[in-house]
Amino acid sequence: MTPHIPNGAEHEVVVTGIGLVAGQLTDPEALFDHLAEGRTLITEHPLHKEWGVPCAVSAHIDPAVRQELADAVPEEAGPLGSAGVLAWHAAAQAWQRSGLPRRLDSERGGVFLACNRMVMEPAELTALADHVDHEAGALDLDGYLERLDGTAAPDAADGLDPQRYQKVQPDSATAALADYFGAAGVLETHADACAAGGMAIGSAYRYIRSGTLDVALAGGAESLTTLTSVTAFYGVGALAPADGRDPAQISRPFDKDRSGFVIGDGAAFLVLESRAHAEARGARILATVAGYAGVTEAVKMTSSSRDGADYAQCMRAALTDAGLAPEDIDHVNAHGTSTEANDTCEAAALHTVFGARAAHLPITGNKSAMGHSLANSGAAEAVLSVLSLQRQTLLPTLNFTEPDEVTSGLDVVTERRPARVTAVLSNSFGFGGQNCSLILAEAGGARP
Amino acid sequence: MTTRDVRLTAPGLYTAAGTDPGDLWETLVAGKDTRRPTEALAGPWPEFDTAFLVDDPDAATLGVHRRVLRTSEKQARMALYGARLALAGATERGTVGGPGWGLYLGLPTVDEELLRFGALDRLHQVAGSPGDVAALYGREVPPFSGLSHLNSTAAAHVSAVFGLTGAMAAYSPFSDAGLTALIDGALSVAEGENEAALVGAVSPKVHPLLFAQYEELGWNGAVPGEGAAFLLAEPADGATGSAAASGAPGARLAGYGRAFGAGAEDRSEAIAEAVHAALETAGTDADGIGWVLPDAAWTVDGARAQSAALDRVFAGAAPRPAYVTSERATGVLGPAHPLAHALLALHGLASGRRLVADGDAVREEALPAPRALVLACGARGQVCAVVLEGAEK
Repeated sequence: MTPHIPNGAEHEVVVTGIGLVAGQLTDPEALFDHLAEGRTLITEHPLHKEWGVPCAVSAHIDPAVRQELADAVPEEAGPLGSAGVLAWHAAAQAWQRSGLPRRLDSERGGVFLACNRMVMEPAELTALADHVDHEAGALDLDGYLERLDGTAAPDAADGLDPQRYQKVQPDSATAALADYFGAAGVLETHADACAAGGMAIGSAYRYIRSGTLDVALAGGAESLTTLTSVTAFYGVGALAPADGRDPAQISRPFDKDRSGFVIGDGAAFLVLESRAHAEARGARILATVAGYAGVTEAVKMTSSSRDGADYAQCMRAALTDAGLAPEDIDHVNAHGTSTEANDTCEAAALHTVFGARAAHLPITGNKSAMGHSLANSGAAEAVLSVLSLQRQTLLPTLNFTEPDEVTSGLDVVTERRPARVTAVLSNSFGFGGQNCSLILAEAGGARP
Repeated sequence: MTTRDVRLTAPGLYTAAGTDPGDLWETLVAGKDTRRPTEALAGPWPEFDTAFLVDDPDAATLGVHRRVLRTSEKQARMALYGARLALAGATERGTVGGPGWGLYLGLPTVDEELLRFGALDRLHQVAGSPGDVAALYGREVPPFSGLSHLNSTAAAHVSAVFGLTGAMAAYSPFSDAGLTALIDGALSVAEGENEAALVGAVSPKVHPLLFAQYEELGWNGAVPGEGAAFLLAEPADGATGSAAASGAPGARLAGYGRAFGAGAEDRSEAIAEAVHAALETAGTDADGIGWVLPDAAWTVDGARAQSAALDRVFAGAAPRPAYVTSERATGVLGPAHPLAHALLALHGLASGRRLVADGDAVREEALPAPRALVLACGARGQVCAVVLEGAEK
């Protein structure tokens, strides 16, 4: 029950826990160290390579790690799909690190998850194809469902899982987390494309700021390194072709030779709390959420305004929300997908918002090493931004060697860099114009 | 952060019953059968061969270039049409769009397009040869499906057509997503983040895999439908001017509540909690509700829990409010269902009338209190409830 009676009061929102799963790593600090050393998570996808897929590289979850994580999900969580399993572990890490009790058991907690629906792998579709009457042009659903019902346990080789259609819906993890951690006041499952992770965090921030909630688990999860997704994104020209290159060198945000994104899997969560709630229980505060904007734009499905006006509007809205000026930001965690269009628009927007200062404002594109995990990416980048604030260290953008005309004049960080970091602007821009900017600041709060 | 009252107006409804809340109202009273034959299903399951389908809006209907259709699924096209119906009046007056106009959507996930049956046959034949499977995918997977399978594409198309650049969010995948969009959209206006918010939701398209999904989640045989429901949330003081200028039916979002019941045994209590919260924030009680529009419960457990909760909340109400759902004319609309009910409630609140389920029929009668309760019950136990309030007569 969450009666919301706004009284105009605003509550400061802080981060007290972080968690993350990416590649073979299941610990945010380990990932930060990995990235700081200039190492990548992008590798050849063995199955896609075997199949002859043109861009058989991805930042997928190591299969052995995936199995370990699946085995470690407690029975109480109920059936979770591949993204749900990742979400579970990232959220559990964040919750444990926050020091909150095992169960909140309060209506003033919530769960905000960003996730896209998972799509069928070939084995699953082949199992379905067995029940198509090709001459009649009809699907025998009865036969298909009876076969699923007759399956005692998931069998990946046969493409059969009796709970498949429950698991692929993104809200299964939202509900499981809310139930397990007793955070059931507000449950939201976000579907805002590649900005969804940031928007889930932003929505949680708004509910805490307004006083409706004290605590929120907010983050994203994605598991779309599948043949269908890779084929579809490759078909539309969004994925970078492998062309025999070293997988580690393919994702090149802001570089003149960028040629598309590399798809990735992963999950990341933050525990957000009102400062008053966190301080009352003596929690360690990692950072503050100082501002947020989640806006739509009106250009078209496949691209944003080339002059960056839409992205600039989003960044400025977040600054306004935070009560900060551009000069108060000292690091940008860019969306930086490595597509020609996104990086052009984002670079233009950074020049617009920060003017001449853009040349001295350090910018990092984590997707150079982590690939693009779509709905999860904004959440993962928020976790890494919190760690940059904690460690006063900026992460490198791999493979940035030379800018083009638009991306020139930016301070793209190419090696681990110690720096005074007080406020980070973290951008996420989704296909079709769902744009999000988060501002994360030091634990003591933003300093305008 | 401001705290303004929020008014809901500009209904846009597209269902098997027509393109207007008034059409739906009349269809329910007349008891018309609006189902159509479904295709591509065989065998004894499902036990019916019809569903509440709508025509797939074409480019001319949507007012867009036909290339836009390449990057959209039927769900996105239904959403765009619902938005167009809702904003028709405001568009004529030239008041739509800009940074003060936000967008909040409840969206089902997009069931992936099955490969053509011929391609499925080929897949069956080459399943043991990974290279051939990948080559088949390369030929058969539509290139724009990477975009159109993201359920958020509806947001992209609506924003682009109407020039909306304000605060936004999209939620999925079941009926609670529809009322979540309404609650968050209204809050964005109440708190001054948007001057106006277009709020909408769309159903899943009726598709073979939808039946598979329903079956696993405890389907009770309710017939699915297609459609979209949209409305505009704006300050009750008429700051954007559109409602006052159009004279469109409208109502105040008086209160809302949410709850969660993870297990089947918890659901009834959660629904009652959400309703009590909505009544509390609306400043009323069970006696103040004249009309209840429960969710279309498409599982046995869901129907039982909702019925028990409403019995408990309204047991002492005098007179007891009437219940009705649009299901017999629209089918089960997923995220769009509670918003279709909200539009039906706006229509009734504007005319001081309500619909009452009476056995197999629906009759119309005077609304005894100017408030309607709309419920949404998600498949996992998420519950949202809102109280809509019309002008006192």
